[in-house]
Amino acid sequence: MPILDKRKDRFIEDQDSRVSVGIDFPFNRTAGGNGLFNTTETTIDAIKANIQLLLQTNQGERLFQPNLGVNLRQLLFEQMTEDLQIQIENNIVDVFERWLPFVNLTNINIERRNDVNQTNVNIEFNIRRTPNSLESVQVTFDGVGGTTTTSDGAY
Amino acid sequence: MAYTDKQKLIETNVNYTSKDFSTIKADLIEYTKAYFPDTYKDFNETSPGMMLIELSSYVGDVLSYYIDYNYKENLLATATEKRNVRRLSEFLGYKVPNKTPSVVRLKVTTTIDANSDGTPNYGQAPSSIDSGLQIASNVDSQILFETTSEIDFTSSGSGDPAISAPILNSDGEASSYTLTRYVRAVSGQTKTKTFTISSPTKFLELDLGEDNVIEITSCIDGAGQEWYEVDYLGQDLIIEERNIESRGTGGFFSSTVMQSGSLSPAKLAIFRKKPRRFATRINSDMKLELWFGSGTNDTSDELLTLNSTQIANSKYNQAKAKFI
Repeated sequence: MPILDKRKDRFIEDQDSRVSVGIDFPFNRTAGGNGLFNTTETTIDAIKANIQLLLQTNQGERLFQPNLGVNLRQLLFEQMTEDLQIQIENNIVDVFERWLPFVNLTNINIERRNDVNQTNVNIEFNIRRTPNSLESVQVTFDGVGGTTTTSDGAY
Repeated sequence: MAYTDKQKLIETNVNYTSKDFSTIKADLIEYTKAYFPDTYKDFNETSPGMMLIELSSYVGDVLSYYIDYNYKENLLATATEKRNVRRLSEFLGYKVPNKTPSVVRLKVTTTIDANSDGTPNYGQAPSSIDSGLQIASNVDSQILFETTSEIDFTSSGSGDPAISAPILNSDGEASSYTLTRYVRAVSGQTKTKTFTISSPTKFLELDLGEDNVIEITSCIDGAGQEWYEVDYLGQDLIIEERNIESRGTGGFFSSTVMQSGSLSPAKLAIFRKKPRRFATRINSDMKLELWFGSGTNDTSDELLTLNSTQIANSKYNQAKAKFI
């Protein structure tokens, strides 16, 4: 019977706390630390930041990268039907295959809260190199702007 | 310090051939990998760090474009902006015409009655019509044409057609004739603009505020003195056109010559020194402005009568003078 690798830091760079992978998102100033922005210190945190940024970016918003992003903000003004929900999920899958090919999507949940004009997009995923882990990112779209919460779990 | 070969091998990190988004982005990634290997590793396009790198690349791309554009506009062969082409041409001494109006050869006719003996009654021909006659276009009445010379039905030039065949009345007698003259007219209107200049100013610039000026026909100051347009302010001689006949016996030729009929009526170009002069130029707003000089105490309108010794250059001047 195989033994599951349940360590959080499974990549070489993740084992050294002095090494950063990327810049954390949303941007935050480092409190008296080294550098200007907070950084992500593990690969999985970096990927979560990437997913948040990808979901909150509209296509055409990034200069010279017109195809980067998902037009999720339009959800706020659309009639949520089953067809539209499937279409959005397909869009997210397509965008992830192009921009984050190393991420394996396991579940996409889109929750519409009409009482507070809010849409929650919850994505569960794992990294293809570590198929035994399960992480999730939730991005909330409301009338003001996107807010994100992340959580992670493991088998 | 003595020069060593090591100094020769110092290379810069700046790659000056990287000018567009993709090459600058690739350079920045390589730079980050080389100098911040433990600080940043995520070069996926969706990462926040790459967003900043791409933003910097975009700024570099735009700045490179404007650097190239500025250099391109510095050369006459590659400049494309109208004002830059104009300035570069002026720098080389070429006077760029401002606007080229439509020109038409206008046919003007008038009808005169016949005398009792059937000959044309020239006394009915209208007196000369001065230049500046405005004619509206038949396509668009807002477009006006102005004649540039007078229309004179009383005298016939060599280029004018002869009088028409007589128009006969019911009795078969000549009742009227048609006189025809051709005159040049340009699309435009003569406008007058007045400026108040409180004190003498060196290199005074007067902005006409118009971008479609064809030419300055006259410039007169408050004292009635006429100012002349020259190509460049350093040009103190202008060429005046004079009618030989109008000068009479006291003019350029002796009365003997004039009276002998050996000289047919013609125009004569004479040089005159003009202290009151101005040049025109197009400013950065593409408006025409008058540019006056620095001011001078010499206000004489001296007529220069050139002789052959003045025309000849210095090398042959002496010999030519002796020969004469």
